[in-house]
Amino acid sequence: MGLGRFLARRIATFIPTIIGVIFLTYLIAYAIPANPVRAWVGGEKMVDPKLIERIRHEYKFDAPWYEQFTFLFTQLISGQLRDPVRGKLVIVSLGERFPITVELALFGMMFLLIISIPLGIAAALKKDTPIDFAVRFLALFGSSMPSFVLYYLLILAFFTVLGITYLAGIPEPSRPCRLFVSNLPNVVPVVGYLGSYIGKIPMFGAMMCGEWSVVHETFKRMWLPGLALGLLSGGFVARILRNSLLDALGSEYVLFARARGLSKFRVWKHALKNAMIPVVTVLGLQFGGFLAGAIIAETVFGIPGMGRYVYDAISRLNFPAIIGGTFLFAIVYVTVNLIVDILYAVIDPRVRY
Amino acid sequence: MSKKYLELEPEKILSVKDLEVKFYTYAGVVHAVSGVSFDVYENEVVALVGETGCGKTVTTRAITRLIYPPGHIARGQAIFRRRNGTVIDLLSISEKELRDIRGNEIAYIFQDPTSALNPLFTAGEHIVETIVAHSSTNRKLARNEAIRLLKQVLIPHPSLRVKTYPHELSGGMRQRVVIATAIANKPRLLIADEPTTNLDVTVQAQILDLLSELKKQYSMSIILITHNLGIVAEIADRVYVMYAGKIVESANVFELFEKPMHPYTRGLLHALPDPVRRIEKLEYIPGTVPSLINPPPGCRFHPRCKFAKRVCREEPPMVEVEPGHYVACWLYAKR
Repeated sequence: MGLGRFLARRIATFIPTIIGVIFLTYLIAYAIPANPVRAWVGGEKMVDPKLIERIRHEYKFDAPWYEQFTFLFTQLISGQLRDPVRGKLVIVSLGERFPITVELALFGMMFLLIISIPLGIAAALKKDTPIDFAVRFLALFGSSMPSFVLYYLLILAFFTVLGITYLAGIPEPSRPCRLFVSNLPNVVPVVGYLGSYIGKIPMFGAMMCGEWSVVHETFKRMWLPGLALGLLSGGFVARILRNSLLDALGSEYVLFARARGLSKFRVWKHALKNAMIPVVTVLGLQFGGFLAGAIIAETVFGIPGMGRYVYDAISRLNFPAIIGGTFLFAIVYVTVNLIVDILYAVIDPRVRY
Repeated sequence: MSKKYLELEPEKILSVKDLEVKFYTYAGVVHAVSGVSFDVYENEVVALVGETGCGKTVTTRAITRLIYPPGHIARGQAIFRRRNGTVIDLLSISEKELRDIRGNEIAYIFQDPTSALNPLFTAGEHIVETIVAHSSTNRKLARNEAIRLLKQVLIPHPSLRVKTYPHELSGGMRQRVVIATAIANKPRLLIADEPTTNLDVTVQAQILDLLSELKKQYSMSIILITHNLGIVAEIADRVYVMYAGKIVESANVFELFEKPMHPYTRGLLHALPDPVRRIEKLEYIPGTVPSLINPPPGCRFHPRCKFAKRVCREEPPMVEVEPGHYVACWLYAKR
């Protein structure tokens, strides 16, 4: 099969994409007319000019822009880029926070699926009925409502008034749980690494340790942000499913399936399998968006993930952290895209690698 | 439960009576099929002939109620003798019983094999699921049967082809897969809707040969929809000519080509080039097919007919001009 070559080709195109993203981010950050080093050392109070000079030199602010960019980039790639505000390596901070973002994205995805798939099917079956109009409204609502307004309204309803959720902290298992994955032989290092990384996602770690109360707590904590993310894009995905399902149900192959006396279930299988092709694409992109773009949700709901990290970095002009975060976002996005493309080929035999 | 007692002459397999199908569109109600009646005898090939849009396809799809909104079967009967000898009206039985008949006792071949086959399912899967839906065989046996069927419809390397997807096959091969799917359960009635229209001329002949061969082997009856009178002459036993949602003439194939009665049938036959005679200009029927939203009153052909009289604005009766030769035209009917 051409899968190996396809992967190699795609991964080769990743490299210029990611370098390009980092370069653009750097340019934007560089263009800001402010003295970031001042911000890093704590604003006006600490004005030891020698210290500022030292940091300027360390991060090559006294060198031309290309040298500065090369410095930031090589440091980032080698994992040596240090966050000047926290004094930690950027890669370490990202490694700690990314699992929490993944957890949020998974909850968002769960609600997105729960909302969009049944609604999309219902809207297609009951075309031009109140259900269909409701889905249309939800799609319009989701794409035009400012996300933070919705988030605060949900907090007002479920936290302030009803009091059925809480918003502080992330439930973590009591000990690091990478039990059965850490025993995996290191034959395929990537798989072994991914396996142990899954254990870092708090909820999965808790599952591996069997700490079910933590899992329960996680659900109690994360359902509201997950619902918020799902609500925003659920209507949109439902509309896409509705339209592609209507196309499929009106097609000749579905009529031919009926003409062959197939059961209702089989006829639906024929229609749904075709209708899912565009939906898989959109769902994949949404998942990538949740992983990379939950900055507002994490800030509003107080979730210490990637988005919060980048938000804090931006508000403090923390260049190294911004570039590190962008780097990770870019990798996540291209990877999710790659997975979507592979899934696409799995569903549709007409797609060639 | 008092079921109406249904009768069907022993030599007939299907009798459609007074079928009426309407489509409710934004522009108005389309009277696609208006009072069509026809019979299909055991072991015969019946051709349904007419221009595009005259209701041939809708008529045959209505037989097993494959009409979905905005379409609606307004009236009629389709009396069918099942394999077990019971006589039923396909238009009034339950959806479940109907599903039992579709693809099993009455099978369809659609016009365009490219859109009839699901692009995400293999050729074999289409056949296997059709077999499994109507019998208690397991999928493995059904798969062997699928390979046998593919071989029977003359697909080379059937055990390899069973795994291929429709897009990997040529048009002719796809139509063979559709035919294999249709005959998978040895149907008593095969409805072939323009099975060769989308194929190359050379492939057309092969497909027609295959159909005649299969008909002999399975002793099926076939309803063949076509606008190609050459195909009709080649394989049909009896012909129904349709115009604008109504049947205007029916006869056995020799009679019809020999002595066409209805002005529309004559027009159709005259519009056919004769390879023996050299002609300056091909004849044609003036005018176009009428809108079926507001069809002309009475005989629907009268606005284009050179023999039209005042009486043609009334519905012409179907009269038997010779044994087995029926025409709905005021030229042959007494007032």
